[in-house]
Amino acid sequence: MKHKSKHFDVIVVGAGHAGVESVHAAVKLKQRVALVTLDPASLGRMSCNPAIGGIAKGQLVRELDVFGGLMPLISDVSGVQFKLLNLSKGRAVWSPRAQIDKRVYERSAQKALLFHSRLKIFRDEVINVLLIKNKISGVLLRTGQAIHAPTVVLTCGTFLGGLVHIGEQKIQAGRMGEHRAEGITEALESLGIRSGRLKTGTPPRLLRASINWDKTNAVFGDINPIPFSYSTINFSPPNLPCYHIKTNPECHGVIQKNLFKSPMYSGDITGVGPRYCPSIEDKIHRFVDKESHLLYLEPEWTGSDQIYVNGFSTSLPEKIQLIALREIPALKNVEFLRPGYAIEYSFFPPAQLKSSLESKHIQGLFFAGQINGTSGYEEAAAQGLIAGVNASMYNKNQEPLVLGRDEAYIGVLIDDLITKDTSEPYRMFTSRAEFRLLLRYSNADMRLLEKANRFNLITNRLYDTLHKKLKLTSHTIGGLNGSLSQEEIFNILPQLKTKKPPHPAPAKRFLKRPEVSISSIPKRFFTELNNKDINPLWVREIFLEVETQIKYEGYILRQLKQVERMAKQEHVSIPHDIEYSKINTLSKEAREKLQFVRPETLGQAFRVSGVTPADISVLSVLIYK
Amino acid sequence: MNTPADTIVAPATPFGFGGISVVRLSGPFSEKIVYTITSLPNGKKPLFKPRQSTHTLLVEKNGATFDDGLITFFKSPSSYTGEDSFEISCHGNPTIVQKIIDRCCEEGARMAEPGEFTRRSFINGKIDLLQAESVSSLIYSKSCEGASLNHKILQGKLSKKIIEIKEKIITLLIMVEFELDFSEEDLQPDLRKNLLSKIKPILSEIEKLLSTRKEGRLLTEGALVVITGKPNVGKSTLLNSLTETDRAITSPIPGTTRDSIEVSLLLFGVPVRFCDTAGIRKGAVDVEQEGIRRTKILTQKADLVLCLYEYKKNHTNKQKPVDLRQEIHIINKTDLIMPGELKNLKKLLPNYVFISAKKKDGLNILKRKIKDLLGISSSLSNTFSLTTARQRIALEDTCNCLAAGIKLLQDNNFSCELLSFELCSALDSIDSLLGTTAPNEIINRVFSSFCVGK
Repeated sequence: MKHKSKHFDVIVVGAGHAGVESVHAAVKLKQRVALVTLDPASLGRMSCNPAIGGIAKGQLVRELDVFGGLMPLISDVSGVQFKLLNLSKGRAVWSPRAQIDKRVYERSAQKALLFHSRLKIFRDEVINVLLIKNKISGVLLRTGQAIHAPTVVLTCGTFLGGLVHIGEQKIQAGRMGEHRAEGITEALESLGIRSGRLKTGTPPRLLRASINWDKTNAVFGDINPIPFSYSTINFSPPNLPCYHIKTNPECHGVIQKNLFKSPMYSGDITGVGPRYCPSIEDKIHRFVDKESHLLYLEPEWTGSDQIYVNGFSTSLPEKIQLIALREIPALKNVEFLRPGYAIEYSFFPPAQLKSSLESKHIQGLFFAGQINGTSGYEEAAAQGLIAGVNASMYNKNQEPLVLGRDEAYIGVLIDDLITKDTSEPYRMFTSRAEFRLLLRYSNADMRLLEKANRFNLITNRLYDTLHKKLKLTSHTIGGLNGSLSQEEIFNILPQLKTKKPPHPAPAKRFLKRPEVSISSIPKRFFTELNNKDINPLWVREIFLEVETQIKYEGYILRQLKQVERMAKQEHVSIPHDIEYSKINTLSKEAREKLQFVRPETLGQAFRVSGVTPADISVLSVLIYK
Repeated sequence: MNTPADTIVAPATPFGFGGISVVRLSGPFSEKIVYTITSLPNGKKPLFKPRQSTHTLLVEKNGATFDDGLITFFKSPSSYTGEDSFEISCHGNPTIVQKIIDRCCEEGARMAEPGEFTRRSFINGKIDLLQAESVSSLIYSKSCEGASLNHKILQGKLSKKIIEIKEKIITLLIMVEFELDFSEEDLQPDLRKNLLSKIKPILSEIEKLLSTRKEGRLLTEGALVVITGKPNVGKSTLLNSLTETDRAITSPIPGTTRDSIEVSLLLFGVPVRFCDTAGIRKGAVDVEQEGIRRTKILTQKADLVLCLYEYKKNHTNKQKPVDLRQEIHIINKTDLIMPGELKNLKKLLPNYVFISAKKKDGLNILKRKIKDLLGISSSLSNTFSLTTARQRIALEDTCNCLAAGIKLLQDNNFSCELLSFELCSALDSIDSLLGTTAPNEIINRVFSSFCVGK
């Protein structure tokens, strides 16, 4: 907070997870940053569930870590339970998740940023953007002052025109009890940027003492947890339980009877909610046959009085919420600290962005997070980081950081955002990644290390040690070309003894068999891993990667072939001045969609929803002509 | 490649003399062009109505008439290409055809590239890739049944069947993806069984479709039936009797036929190419030896081999084991065998067919047997079949992926995400058939196999 001037390199608007990563990346790239937030005390706040990571999201967090993101580090510090999900479903979809102490998380984020020498915080609200021609030059604040910068990153979350619904009650707010942002939506619309409405919900918060804990099932995390961050060294987090309870027909009855009081059904809410995260009234209405739904009681911080009911997101009137929950034995006498609610907010369809997250209309204006129609802390953080980096790259007049669909979940996320229709809040899934087998949480370093280094996003020290780790992994794989003796083979596969004696053969070949795990391969192949220089937390991961790369070799090769096929049209760029509305041979839908999205490459055009292969043939004919 | 904005012209009937020839014109300026090259006998300009034929004179630039013809107008989008199109029927003389094309080009049209009419049809969304492909097959079909088969593909029957299969695979994929992305619980034990019970029928459905490939090819390309046997066993006589021609020269001298002779005929509606070969014997002279080498190559390519023998009293027919799927073993010259002896012989060699090629005895039995072994069934023309190698390869890939999926599912600890990968790859292959994700090279290859005009 040294400089008094109102001139900066980057202005970040909003201090949620996208804003935090934007600021963090930009100050790291030596930018002078202004952060505008309605309340600095809520910087890095987790406004919904107390967890980071999960299926596909855990992979995002790992990728953020290679690019020096803040989320993985502070999740490791504030995690109270760590679990690797999907263990029974294949190693390419293993996904780390942590239950988080929200207060520690928020505090850690603030500690990392609030007093940074290159950051100045404005407790204020942006009501308009300042332009010179179609280039951004700064923002106008509610208090009347203007601040100037050649780049602005908008990360306003649910605060744009936020409208909270509880039953028939409507409250204008960004989060319950916090002011919403006004003015900026209209300002951007007047510049020709389209907006839309979405909705999301959050469940009630319960008073810990009012719950009968004897009637719940405690569920713990992994006994040998793994951290998100490669920088985490001493890792011994607590393993606090979450608790399972189940809804019952009585509870469903109460909700069924009062459905009409939910604004979702009465038609009061016009925004589209996420299908993958339905409200309890949605679940009960749509899946009438299901007699019971699982709910998770999650403490929001250590020793917290406040319990989060995961799975019971709702916008029914408070009284109905309470009556319904009290039908569940464990919640017979439950009291609320806060009811569940739905929130409607404005967003800007991200098809109006380039793959750098810069607006196609206004130079220097970047969008990240929920404002782009995504949901989730991790999705927001990932975009925040990319926008922060690319605002800095823009200032330095350098190529933006763009990740491919074959490189990272972050790449899939952004490519989907800029090419697909956003009809509901976008959440990351592993099935969105067509090259899923290549995008493992355990090889994020292998995929992204060099790029992170090229963009100066990783410290030299971490780069060097990760580089060593990767070398060690490939050495170990190479070493497994060495042969096993007959005796060693018998030790691994005793059943071979009965048949004719096998010839000595490469250890690799045996490891490929489904019934052979890496732990049964003789220790002499792994002596290099006893090296004291290696973070002991990494040794397990090296074992895992060696095993995966050998066992999945055939599949990985097939995926790489698919990548090659895609690459052919991926890099064919489409002329900027192409006038889609005049190409009669395109289908009507394709003409409209392409005119709106204006894809940068043929690959992107191919993924625009509503565009058919015949349309792509027409386009490629025109481009190659 | 040119943009589909210009007007193209090409003959639609083969080059040569005939009753009539047809020239086809398609594109935005086709109507304007036709006006300038036509005139009514009374000197007025004709009026073309969509889907109607108009009789007009065809005129030179200076107004001189060079032919008269019947012109049919197809208005966009109700035409083959989806653009305004005209079909000009003229007298079947190559010079006239060339004249019409020259006139059209003078007025702004250009010669169509091979397959360009069909490519425009595809680009304008009139047909899908499978249908485009069968247009080529329809043109090259050698039989009526083949033509009717391709007509069915053209109408989208095969596409429909494959879309059905695709939907089934998608249903499976949805189940798997649910497990991967949404369920935090461990895999349900019955999921594996459930998936297995669903994936197996899909595989056999595709396998069934693949088995129709042979039929489809028989109908469009015709079957190759090769007649082999020792010199002078009567191969050429058999060929002549079967085809009721005198194509092959016959004589009592061994080695009369030195090169193979091919005769086509429709057998139960299917084109069959019968091929007479040089007899194989030791000590043959050079020319004859070359004939023998060719015989060997032909038998390898054949769909069916007719092995012809002659019965000789003093030595028994001790042949190598008979492959009854691809060979028919025939004893010829039954007219030279005593009736009683023939009866015994038939008992002794139940798998043999007995004929007299010269007297045309037993030929119907032989024909029926040929039909059975070629798999020509009477219901054939009521179904649809795969006709091109690309269709076969894509479905075989699909099969392989599904089979790999089944193999994964047979392991108790199967990896759900690998199963998903196999299912996605299966879908990719199917998509390449339906044209939903066909890379450009495939499209181009399909189109370049068309003759000019369509």
